[in-house]
Amino acid sequence: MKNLELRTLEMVCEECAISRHYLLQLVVREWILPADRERHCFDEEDVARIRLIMELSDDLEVGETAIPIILNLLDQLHVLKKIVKTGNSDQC
Amino acid sequence: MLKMCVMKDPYLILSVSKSSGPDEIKVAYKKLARKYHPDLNPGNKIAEEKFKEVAHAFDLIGTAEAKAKFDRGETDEQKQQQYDDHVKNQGRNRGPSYSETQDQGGRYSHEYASGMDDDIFSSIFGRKKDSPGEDEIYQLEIDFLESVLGAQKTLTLPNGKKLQVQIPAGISTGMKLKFKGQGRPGRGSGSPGNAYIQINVKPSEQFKRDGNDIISEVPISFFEAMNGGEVEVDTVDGKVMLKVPPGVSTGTKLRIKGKGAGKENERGHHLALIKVVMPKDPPPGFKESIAQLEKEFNYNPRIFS
Repeated sequence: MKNLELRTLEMVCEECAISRHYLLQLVVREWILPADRERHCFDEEDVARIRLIMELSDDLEVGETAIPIILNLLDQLHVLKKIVKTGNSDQC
Repeated sequence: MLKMCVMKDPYLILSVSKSSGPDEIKVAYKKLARKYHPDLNPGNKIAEEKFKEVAHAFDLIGTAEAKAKFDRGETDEQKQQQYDDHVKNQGRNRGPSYSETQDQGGRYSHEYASGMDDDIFSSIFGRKKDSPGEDEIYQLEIDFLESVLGAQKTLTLPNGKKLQVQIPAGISTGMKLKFKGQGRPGRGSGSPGNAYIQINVKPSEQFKRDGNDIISEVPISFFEAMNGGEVEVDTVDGKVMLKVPPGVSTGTKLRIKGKGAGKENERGHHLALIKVVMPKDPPPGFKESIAQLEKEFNYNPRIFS
């Protein structure tokens, strides 16, 4: 279930302990697509994705080139999981 | 009874020896963290548990200082508490993982899917191009008074769409409001899904709900309890004068009709829960007067109550 509460740029920086510059870099690179792009407001999906990026780069030492590939593959995986799930329930 | 979870041996978890240095431990941790990271193993509960175990083990012996402390066998209550919370809450206090957000029908995977070729799906899975959109469930936190009296709220959905939400009076936590056609768009000419707003009511310090009745504690003096009187009571509709009959005790509930929760004409009642409060610092002579009264009019409440 989603929490609809949106966080401002400053709130996310504080929550994830990152700098404003770092977060804006993630947005410019389109690794993060803010829930409200005009006002630069983020939802819990954005925060979870930021945390994942941080864990990949800081804890697991994944290089900058590999991060968007991993994110892309993960998104593919989630889409395919959903299709398989929908496909299975269609057949029932 | 509070059950404490026994911490497993962090050296065993990370497959390192007690003589290993911080660098070696770090390498072992990273290797296991890569293997079991929940976002890299979506839906795999075993991997998720392993990851938590590995992260906690690293927390215990990951730095020279932490390792030395652990080796000395010093009980670190904070770390034990963290571990207990970890096991109990399954690490959910920092919000959902990325995979969890996408499993719930995430915006990112939806965005990714919208760029994919429809024919690929139909040729592999034999799906029709036209299919209805999925339902979305959102959570909305409201104040106690809004839940009792109803309210109107404007929500901005992740797609930027504004939703006018009419919260009916008397709603309670867990109830869902349905918004037809406000969910995910359908594929092709498929109809859109529905949006559901699940309500979470913030507790009030002043009021409590019991069905459609609202309960609040009303402190009264010893004299008001003996002689009765009129006291001012806060209700969800504002202040009301309540007649207190003589001889009430702590725990007596006095009803104020129609000041509870629910739709108009179907509202519950406000129940004023009486609490007799003795003076904290009795003025000079008070105790003596009471002692005098006691001599004359003592009674045993355990017999006559």
